[in-house]
Amino acid sequence: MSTHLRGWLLDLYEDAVDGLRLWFVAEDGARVCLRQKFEVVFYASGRDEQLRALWKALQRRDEVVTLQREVRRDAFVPEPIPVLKAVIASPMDEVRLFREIQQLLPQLTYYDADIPVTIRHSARYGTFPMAYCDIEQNDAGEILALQVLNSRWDLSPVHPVFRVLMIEPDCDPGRGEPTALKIQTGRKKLTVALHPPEALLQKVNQLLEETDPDFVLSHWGDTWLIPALLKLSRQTGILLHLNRDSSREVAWKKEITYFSYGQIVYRAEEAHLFGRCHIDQCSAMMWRDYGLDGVLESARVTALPIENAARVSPGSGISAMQMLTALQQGILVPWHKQQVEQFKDGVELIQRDRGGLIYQPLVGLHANVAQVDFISMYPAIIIKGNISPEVPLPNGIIPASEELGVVPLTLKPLYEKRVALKLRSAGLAKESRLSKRDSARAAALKWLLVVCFGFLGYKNARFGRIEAHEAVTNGGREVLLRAKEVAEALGFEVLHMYVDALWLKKAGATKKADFQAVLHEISAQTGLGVSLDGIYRWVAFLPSRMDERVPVANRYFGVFQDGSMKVRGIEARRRDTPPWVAETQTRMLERLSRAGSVRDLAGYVQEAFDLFRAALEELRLGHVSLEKLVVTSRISHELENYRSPTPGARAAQQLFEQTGKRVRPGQKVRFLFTQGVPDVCPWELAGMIDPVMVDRVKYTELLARAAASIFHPFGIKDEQLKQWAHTGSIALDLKLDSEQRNVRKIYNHAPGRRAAGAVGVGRMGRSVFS
Amino acid sequence: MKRTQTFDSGASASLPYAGGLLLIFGAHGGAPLMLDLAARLSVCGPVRLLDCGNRSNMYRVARTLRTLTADPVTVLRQIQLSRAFTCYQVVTLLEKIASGKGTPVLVLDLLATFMDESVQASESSQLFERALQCLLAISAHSPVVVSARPLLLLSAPRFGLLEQLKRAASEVWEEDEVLPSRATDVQLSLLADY
Repeated sequence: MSTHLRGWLLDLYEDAVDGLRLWFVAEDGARVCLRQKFEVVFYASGRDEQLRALWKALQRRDEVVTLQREVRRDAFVPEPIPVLKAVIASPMDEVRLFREIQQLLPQLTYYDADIPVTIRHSARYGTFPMAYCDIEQNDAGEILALQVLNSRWDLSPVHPVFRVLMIEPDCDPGRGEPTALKIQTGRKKLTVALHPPEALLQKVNQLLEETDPDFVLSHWGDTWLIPALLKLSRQTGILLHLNRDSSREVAWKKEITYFSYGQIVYRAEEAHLFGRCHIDQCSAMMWRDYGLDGVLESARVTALPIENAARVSPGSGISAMQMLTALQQGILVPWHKQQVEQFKDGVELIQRDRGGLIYQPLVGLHANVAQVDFISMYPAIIIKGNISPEVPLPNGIIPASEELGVVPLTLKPLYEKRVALKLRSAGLAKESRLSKRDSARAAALKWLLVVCFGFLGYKNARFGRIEAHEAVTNGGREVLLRAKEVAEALGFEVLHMYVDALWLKKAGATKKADFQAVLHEISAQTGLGVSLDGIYRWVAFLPSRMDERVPVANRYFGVFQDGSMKVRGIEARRRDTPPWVAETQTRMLERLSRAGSVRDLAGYVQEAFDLFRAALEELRLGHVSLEKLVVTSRISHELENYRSPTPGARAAQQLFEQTGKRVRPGQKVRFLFTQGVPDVCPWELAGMIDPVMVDRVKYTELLARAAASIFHPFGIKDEQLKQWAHTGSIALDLKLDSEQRNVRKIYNHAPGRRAAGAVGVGRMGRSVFS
Repeated sequence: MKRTQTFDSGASASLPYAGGLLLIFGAHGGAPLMLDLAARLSVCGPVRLLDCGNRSNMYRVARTLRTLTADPVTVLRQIQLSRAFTCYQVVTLLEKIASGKGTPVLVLDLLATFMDESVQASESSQLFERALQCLLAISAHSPVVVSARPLLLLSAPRFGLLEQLKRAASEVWEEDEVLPSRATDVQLSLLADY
């Protein structure tokens, strides 16, 4: 006899006996596990004798349900190709069998061979995490029919009420020895001591049983907490019931180090649960950007399991979506992309292999400048130009074919959903719950869109092609040049262009309405959406530190008319800047942001300088906490491979020698600059050093450098500022873009001198900081 | 018999020859020397450049060509290049290549893609074997120069591939940092050499 159930899909995974196990949150709140038989398919193409050999090898295997010859479409081949189709009884059988087969017959080209089971299921049934399903099941808990009643593209998805358990140690295990666990379920918060371990494990089990959480949200869960709990479980013999599926143990995914965008990245090992989701907030890649709402949105559109969607890079999300699109379109998904770049000559390479267009800024201080951005420019170009590896490339952004390829087909609904979410949140109060939720979801979609261009050129992208990648930047350059021509034709001066943004000004143009015509015309001429990011009261474009005659793209700071600041490329934005330096620089900028116009800036420059001086005084008096002086840097090689170790590498080496803790390539190390030898101290050992050993000269230098970025537009040079910071004496000009010059006297920060406010304003063109 | 010699970045390269495999081993995949070689060979005729490490800086080649010819654009068109980003692509490219007899083939930073941590070491090794067979076959009728760079400790399980490549090479040029650059001995002319 069969019955019907309605509920949301929470988890789906392979099982050796059942085929698949699916966990649903039923409408009545019950958590239900059902089973489903699920056959999977892979394909092979190649020379006839090898395909015959494959047929013979597979024919003998019990796992193989059927074998047949078919003609299918390979995205990289113009005409459909003959393939051997193998239908395998279950996903686990397929993984095992394919591993053997590809070693036996490596010369064959395989397709659809390593697709995650959630993607296969999504392609067949339309499922995704939090899909609302109508399920017909038999008495044995087997799914007889499954229908999805909602969509990945819903703007207002309805979720069940989740049960969440939050758990974390009472301190960072990297810095200290935790003594207790802090646990929260609903409104209940408690702290459980790690000793005795028997009591701890019993308490954790009791909470898991009482709460039966859908989500276990941890800190350091992958790297410390779950390994520590399992170790205690082994030592005491008390079983830990972390999984909802009691027949399963915790699944571990190995740690990896890999290159990404020229950086070496470390990903710690991961603890995955069955029937519920474990998310380590420290390992979850974008948790800080968009939290659980963003993770659920990411899982929804990519069809990846929630635990994976929280941890993997957006590139993996895009890859999953492209595979899903290909399966839905009946296009083969190559196991390994073997398509190579067509031979081109040296001149063609120079012409095609360029990045985004950059028009160097006019260095200095500018007033009433509008920043115009193309909305998700590269995704929009991919969609508009129909740029995909399997379709002819466009001429600029004019598509060569009307039928959308795999890549634009994947991106189009994603792009449209993000734009719709952005439009909706624009009409909501910023602090409303719905607005925050929409923002988090839009951020998750944004990251997927951001990486889609890079992914076209990524080595392991199944649907990547370097020529398509180049076509996108070509389209971008074309569009930006058209925008520049439009702006100049309408009488605007283009101060700077950077890939997908323009900075424009025109005498008398100060309000949004003054820029509407140019926005409208750019959009009409390019066919892409543009938005006004804002109008700056003033903005300062900075030059190179090495040579101030040379402008630097995307290095600026400015204040919009609503008083909000925008900062790019200076110390406050860098991850390796000590918090004390970043915070002081930000405070100085905030002070400058109070100026209503360029002419008002003079007084605020004085106040910003006072902040700089006060910060130096704090440092000199030893009032800056060590935490605020910590520098964070990423290790890019094994420690033994550094020829000239960076300060970060020297700190990591010390840490290794003194504690045995090894910082792997891709991991970050935190350290302090100290006096003498060694000149750095890893943060983990900072408790052992006397705070007076901090290298104040070095930190003074770092702050002076940050302050110099702020004061440069006013004519104060780096070296002058450093000189003042170290010696307390300087003479300089204040240059503003008006005839009026201001003389300000700023007192020395040196010991024994009393700080004082600004005195004396004149027109002498000389400022004395003494 | 195999010769091993050292080179410095200012060394002028002699033309490679068919029937042997020349390996250039140095920092940056020997790219400066390989690109210089590509420029010089392109003056004489077509050259195939297979870039396995994304190091084909054609601006550098163009700059070199400006010192060698009055028409660098035409000569630059003599260089036919393709970039491979995975070891699967390297093998496909080498298996496909139908180099005309005598057309030199330069393979830049050959080992880079075989160090990819997402490809299992055993598979990488099998693919490298196939790539090497292709290179030896091509070298029977065309000059082949391959470059490689010192490997990172991260790639320790695959160090054997470099040894295999060195063994297969008929001649190995190893970069020697100690040698002073010969370029310092030469006063470049301000006048174009044409």
